[in-house]
Amino acid sequence: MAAQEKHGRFLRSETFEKVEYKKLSKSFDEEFRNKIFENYGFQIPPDWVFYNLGKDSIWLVPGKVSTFDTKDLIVEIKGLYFSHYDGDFLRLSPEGAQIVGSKATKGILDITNDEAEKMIRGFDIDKVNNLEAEFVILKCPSGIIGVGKNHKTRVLCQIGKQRRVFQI
Amino acid sequence: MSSKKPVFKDSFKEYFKKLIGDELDSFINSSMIPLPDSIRVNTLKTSREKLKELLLAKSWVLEDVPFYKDAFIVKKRNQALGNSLEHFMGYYYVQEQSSMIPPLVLDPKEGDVVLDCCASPGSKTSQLSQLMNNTGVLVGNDVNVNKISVLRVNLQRLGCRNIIVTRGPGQRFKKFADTFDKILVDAPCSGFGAIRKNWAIAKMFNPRSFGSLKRVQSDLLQSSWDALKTGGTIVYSTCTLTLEENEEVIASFVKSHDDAVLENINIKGFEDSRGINMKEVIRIWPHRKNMEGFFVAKLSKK
Repeated sequence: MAAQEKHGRFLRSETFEKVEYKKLSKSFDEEFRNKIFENYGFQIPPDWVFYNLGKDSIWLVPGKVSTFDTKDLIVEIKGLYFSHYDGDFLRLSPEGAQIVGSKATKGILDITNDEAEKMIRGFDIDKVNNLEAEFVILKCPSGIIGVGKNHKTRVLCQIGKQRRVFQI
Repeated sequence: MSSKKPVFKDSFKEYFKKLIGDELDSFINSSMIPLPDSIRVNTLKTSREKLKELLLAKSWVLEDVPFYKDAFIVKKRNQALGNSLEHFMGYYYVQEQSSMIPPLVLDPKEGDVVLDCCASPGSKTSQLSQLMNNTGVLVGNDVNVNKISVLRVNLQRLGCRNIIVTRGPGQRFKKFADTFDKILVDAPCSGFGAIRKNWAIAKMFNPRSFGSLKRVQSDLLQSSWDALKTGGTIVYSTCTLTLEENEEVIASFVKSHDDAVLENINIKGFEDSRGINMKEVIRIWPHRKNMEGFFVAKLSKK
């Protein structure tokens, strides 16, 4: 590691607020699991623990990680960002889609590698389908790239700008 | 990388002449050759065989990394390493071969509680997560706000879920007495092992900075030591080649700690890459191995 970081950074970091992770309430957790099952036919294992980190983002946090005492450290993240869910609108992260998609029985749209290459660069693709899910899991021969918003004839890119590939 | 060749000051040449003697020209010449591309297979998401099959189908040419089965040297490719579908899906991480060594030396097991106290951009952190098979607890800390956002994106893309990312000076971990089974201290350093990656580093040579870097490195090592369980292991690494930031940090630490044992590192292919007057550690010279310069030491707590 190069040594650009100096004590100025240390002091700056002190002023940041501590992130609040909240375990999903029993009823919301159940609702979230049911929604995943309803959309993708995937039963989330009962020992998986989900936390909320502001603005409807759901994180998969293993038990040992969730109980680790971080004392007064500034916690940026714990576990894996799994999906956005606000009680109605469910959009899996690319990693959430890979986890769910590996065992899903529905809500999966097969696309070609060329279409996947377009999608990861932020383009929408034309794809006629009759899938019910609002957000379909996109599976190409190389693997699962995430989810797309399904308009039955067109699938809209849902890959965050931070994750997109910009050069061809 | 800039098209301008690196500038080596006379003080740089004098300093390294004392360390490697006649090999100086070879060291300087090798510093002008870019490093070979290498990638690490992310076994949390795919297997070595599957990734190899996918990349060979795209006409990439791969070569095995002799000391690590889950890594490849990319000899030929038809797109940038970070632009492929497989990279997007988190099937591999672009990582220099030397940088794969510290996690291998630390060798965390499933269920361990592990700290990486200078974690960004996440190459070694994600490799640790992979070696732990996404179990146990892995705390990845860094002090730099901007670097942490890169760390977060990388850990997410690679599907690491046994992690806690914290922000703050690594020295804070002294409060966590007897907490961690294993700790990686990949300390901030002058970076002279990475000249092949960034030629601008060469002209930053300033021996007066070594003292302050050594203090930060020793502080990080001390606070990590406090946080380590008895029987635990610390791996200290840097990507620099100065004596002050490597062997001297370790020697003075071992001298001042009766409970510290400097362990002999055994990695196949690195038997001849030993430290200066310190045979237990690994020191990689870029002109001897076709890799980034690196230093790795392993300490255990009695």
